[in-house]
Amino acid sequence: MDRSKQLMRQRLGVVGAFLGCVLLPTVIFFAERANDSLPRESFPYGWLAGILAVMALLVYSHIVAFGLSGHWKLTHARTDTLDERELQITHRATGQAYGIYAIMCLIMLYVFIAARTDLLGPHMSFVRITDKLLAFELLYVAHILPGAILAWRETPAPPERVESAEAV
Amino acid sequence: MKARKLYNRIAVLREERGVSRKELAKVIGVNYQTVGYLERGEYNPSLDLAFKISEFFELPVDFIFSTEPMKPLSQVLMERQAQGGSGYGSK
Repeated sequence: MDRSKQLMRQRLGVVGAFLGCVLLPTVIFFAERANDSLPRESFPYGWLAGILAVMALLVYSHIVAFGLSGHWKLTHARTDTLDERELQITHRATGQAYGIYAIMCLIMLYVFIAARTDLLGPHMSFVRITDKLLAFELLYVAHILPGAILAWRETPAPPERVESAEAV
Repeated sequence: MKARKLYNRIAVLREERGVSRKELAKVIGVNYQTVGYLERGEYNPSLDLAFKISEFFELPVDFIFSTEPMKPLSQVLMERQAQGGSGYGSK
């Protein structure tokens, strides 16, 4: 696989990971609402399948964008195990991720406050139903964000190509 | 600040001496992928790394790295011979 294809694949993985983060609470919210209107004895298999499908998307995207590309390892490695180029790109990605994450946290904080104080009335039931999951997703996003920035920009050559790709 | 692009002869010298990226990377203390980035000119090395590379090839730093596109080695040698000099030493 050439570098542009690899980069495209990584970017699709990043999009899939963030799409999964948005879809999971959405599907759970609608499943919860649909469950309320179902008769007690019927089990919502359709919604369960939907939740499992989104979780599969999350896992697959994570493997493609962060696992196979090695970006997860890069952003979670000890700094003394990285060389100067890896340190440089990791520091840059971590710095940018910090800025994005701070804004995301602020938005979530205000949304949670708005949901608690009933500021926006019944429209905030989404947050009330999915608040624990959203809080967990923030934790997940904190871990993947620097790797996502790297996966969006960097294309490390896979190890098996290196010995044969000695071209100038 | 955007760094200037640095050109280098790492790939040519490595090929010439039959050294793999992994071997060079091990000697200069970087990941083998970093050698690829250096060769493609996608990463400018630190001064320390540039000196490590020049020590490995036993050549002056300014023979391996340049801020201008590198001339082919054959052309450099021809020019040196025409001037009455010999071998390496100029870009």
